[in-house]
Amino acid sequence: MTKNIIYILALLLAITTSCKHADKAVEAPKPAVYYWRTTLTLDSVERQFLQDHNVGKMYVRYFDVTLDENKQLQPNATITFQDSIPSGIEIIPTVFIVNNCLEHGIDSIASLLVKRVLQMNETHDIAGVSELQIDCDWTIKTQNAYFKFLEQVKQLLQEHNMKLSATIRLHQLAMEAPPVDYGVLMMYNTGDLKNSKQRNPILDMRDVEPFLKYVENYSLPLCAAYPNFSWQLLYTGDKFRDILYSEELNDTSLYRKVAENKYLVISSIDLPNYLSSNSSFTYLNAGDTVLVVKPEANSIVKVHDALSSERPGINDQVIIYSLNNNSIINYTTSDYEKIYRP
Amino acid sequence: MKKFIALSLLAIATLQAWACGGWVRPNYYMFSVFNRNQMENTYQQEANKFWASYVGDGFYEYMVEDFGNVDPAEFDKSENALIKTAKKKRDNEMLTYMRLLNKYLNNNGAGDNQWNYPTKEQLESRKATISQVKDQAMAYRGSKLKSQYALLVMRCNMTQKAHQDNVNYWNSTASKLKDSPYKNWMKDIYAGALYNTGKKDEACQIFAELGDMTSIKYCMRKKRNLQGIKDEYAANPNSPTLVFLVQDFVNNTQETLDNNSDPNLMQYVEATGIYQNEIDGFIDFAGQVLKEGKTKSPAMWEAARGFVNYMNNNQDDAIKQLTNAQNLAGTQRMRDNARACLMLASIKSAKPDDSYFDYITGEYKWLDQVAGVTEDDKYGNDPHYCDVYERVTYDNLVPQLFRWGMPNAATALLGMADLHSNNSEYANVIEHFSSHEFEEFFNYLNSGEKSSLEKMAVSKINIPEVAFNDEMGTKLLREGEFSAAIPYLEKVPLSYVQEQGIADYMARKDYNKEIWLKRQFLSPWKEHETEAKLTENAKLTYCRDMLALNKEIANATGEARNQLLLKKANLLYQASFKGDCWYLTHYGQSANDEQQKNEYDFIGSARMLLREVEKNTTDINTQLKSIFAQTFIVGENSQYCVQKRFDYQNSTYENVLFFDTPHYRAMTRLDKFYKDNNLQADYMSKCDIYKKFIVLNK
Repeated sequence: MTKNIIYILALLLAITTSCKHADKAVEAPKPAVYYWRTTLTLDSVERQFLQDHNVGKMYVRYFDVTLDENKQLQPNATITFQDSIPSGIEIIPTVFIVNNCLEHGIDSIASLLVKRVLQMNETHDIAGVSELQIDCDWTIKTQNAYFKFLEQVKQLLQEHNMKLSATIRLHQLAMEAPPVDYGVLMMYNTGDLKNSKQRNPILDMRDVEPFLKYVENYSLPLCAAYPNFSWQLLYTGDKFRDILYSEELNDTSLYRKVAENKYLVISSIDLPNYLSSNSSFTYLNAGDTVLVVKPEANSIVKVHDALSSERPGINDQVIIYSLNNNSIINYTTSDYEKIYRP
Repeated sequence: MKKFIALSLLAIATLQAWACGGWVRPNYYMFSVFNRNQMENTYQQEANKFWASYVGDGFYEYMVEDFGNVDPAEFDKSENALIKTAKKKRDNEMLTYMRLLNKYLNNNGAGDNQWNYPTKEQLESRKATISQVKDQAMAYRGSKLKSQYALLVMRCNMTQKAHQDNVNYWNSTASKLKDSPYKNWMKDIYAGALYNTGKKDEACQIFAELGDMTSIKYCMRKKRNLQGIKDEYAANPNSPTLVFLVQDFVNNTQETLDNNSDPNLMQYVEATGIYQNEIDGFIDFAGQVLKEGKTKSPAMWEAARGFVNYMNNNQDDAIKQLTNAQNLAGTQRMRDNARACLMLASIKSAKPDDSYFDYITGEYKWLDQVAGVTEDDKYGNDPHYCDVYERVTYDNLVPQLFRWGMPNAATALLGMADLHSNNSEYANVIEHFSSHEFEEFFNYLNSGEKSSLEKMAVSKINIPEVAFNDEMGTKLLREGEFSAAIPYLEKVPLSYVQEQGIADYMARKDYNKEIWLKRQFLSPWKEHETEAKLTENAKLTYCRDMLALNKEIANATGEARNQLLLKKANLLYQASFKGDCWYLTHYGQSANDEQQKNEYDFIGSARMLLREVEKNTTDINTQLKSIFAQTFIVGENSQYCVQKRFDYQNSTYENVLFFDTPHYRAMTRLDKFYKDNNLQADYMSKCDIYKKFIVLNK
């Protein structure tokens, strides 16, 4: 009898736990990637990655929403489709909204945005799209406008049987959850670039820890996105200046390697600016230093496991940021397997 | 006109404020063999010239932009000026071309970042339209519009990303067409096609040859240093890219050596820092290039090392090389560049003798000529040489003339340069002259022997007699020389004062009103709404009043004298730069004004008189007024002890009392005197600051 009672209690506990787990995780999880370039074209390394890791979803940045010179909200950097998507991979159109747009009548473009995404799907024969994701670094100041906008978008998507998801940055965990079907917790860009000499600005457990307490009870279903990219950070003295874009640091006429992941600029040059939205240049003066930073694979796994223990199910779906041959090679297949595991 | 004058005066005051705030003249680059202002829509602008001549009078550039917005389906009904002109001329050949161009402009995908994303059909249709346009353009067999059609073919290829087709088309057809702006446009597209088909070096050379600054900067972005110059030279000693790279290097050296190597500033001016070993390396390398004799532009290399030597304080080498460069092979711009650089470099080691002044005068005349400056167009048509003019004059020759003990010549040169550049440095110097210096300068302009440089400068500036009398009278008044000011001010007609920006203030503010009892504030806008007619020159009346008052004071005794001293204290304060009647001593006023070096201490003198009255009077109310006026002066000239501060917690303003201030101590003394003597004064009970002080000082 006692044995039966224990068995029933255990069963009940298991059911309760699994129900709770199901509420907190995203529906139909699959290994996923972000695609964040302006031209959709996949090379053999990228296709192999999709195949090796059974990637089932690609969150593809379709366009950004920015303010033009007349303070009008405009699509910008629209993706050009030049390649086919491997069969069996679901596309989730993703739109990045620059935060300052939220103060300029963002709700007025909800239907334009949805219509544009649907038209892009239709024009480029992207079938089976059942979701739209919005990425925005909203703050307490812009929260109301953003949430109102999301509600409108969600309602418009319902007419097409589509769901709405949104990215969630760590600092946003402490705020009210946005009105979407689920959130993607961005586990990158967690640090302060200005103080990156002490901590890894892409992902550092010490930057994540203060926010872990919000994860367990966050009211939206969540999945997590982890980085596979590295940054080349430019410093003049101790002052952070810019992020370089895939600079060839092995060019010995321009750089001298002075330590592991540290390079000295030995000849002044200018390079296209990565941080700026316009086509400006970054000026590297002789004497500047370039630090190459990327999180260690075990750091990512440590954060991954910490999240799992705070909130089982959050890693049911993992998204790697991003699908890019330059980044893919930063980690081994085995590393990716550890990151992708639930 | 009056408003303009007032604003000009304010502008002078503002300029002074900028100077205090760290405003500096831009670091104009001297070395220019490659026009860095080139290529901002140049091809389109060149094409617009064609449309301007086609349309004739009434052409505006927006008409070309508007043409691109005409819906092809509405083309025949369009009111666009270009289309209407072609119709009016019954120019069917042109209309056919324009229809095709309009189709291209509507289908080239330029508007893809609009909210309306094209449908699949629209995209297909666009592709098909571009192909059709291309085919039809290729089929043109006429001669009149051959270049335009060829350009259309290349633009279609570019839209279709058919870069190899563009390379082929340029080689087979476009390159053989006669020279025209369209041909340069096509060549630029061809260079872009080369770049996109992997022939990057070849592309860069064409961009450099065409002066396409945007593209060349992108192509050369990793070669903007000595190593890059060496690499380009090794590949081709006459590569057009070297013109850009050498100029860029010399300009960056100038930026670095002028101590502007702050990363943010360097980024702002698009410069890269050049370090001493690179500078030395460049001088050696330029020497090596000249020795090898492979370059067709020795003038550029010789001038480059000459100017870098100048900046590096190798003055003898600099002069020798910049002189030599003018006789070497290269473009005319390269030789002109060497001449302009030598003009600047010469100042450092020059001796102030006739031979040098003759040389530099000749160079100024040449500079005007090469900049395209004429009597009607004082800014010229080449901004580079205007920059040279400014750097040579303001930053080098004027300071050198001061060092040589020739302040009047330096001032005259400033006058000449201000006319050239629309600066106000001459006006500032004149404003700060003492009456003695000003008179000396006036006499200098009108008499005496002068060098050729001085003669040229003096011929450009003029101080009319009436302006001289007004300035002299005002300066003497400002120096407290009331008697000496009168003869000058008497010669100034009222109509002359009426035309000045100060006339409104003079007509509306009365210096006899006691400033510590009633301020005469006028709204900055209202005061100019109606023109105030002057009935007298208040400066002249003021001087006469002051002389009369001084006489009265000299003859008065006791309380009558004290009352006269109070009156004088007010008149003095009113005429100070802080007074309501600042127009007596200044031509403009701003919050940043300070007492000028030659200015009589109106404020200090007013205070002394008030102290004297306070000490000597036996009348307790006169004593109170004196203390009150002194307290006013302390507050106005330091910091009021009662200040308004924003309370962020409650989002309201609150009054705060600052105890450790001279004004607090003055207020405390006033308050004690008032209370101890049980006095009643209307101005005390109406004084806002005193009322707040009482509330806060409990």
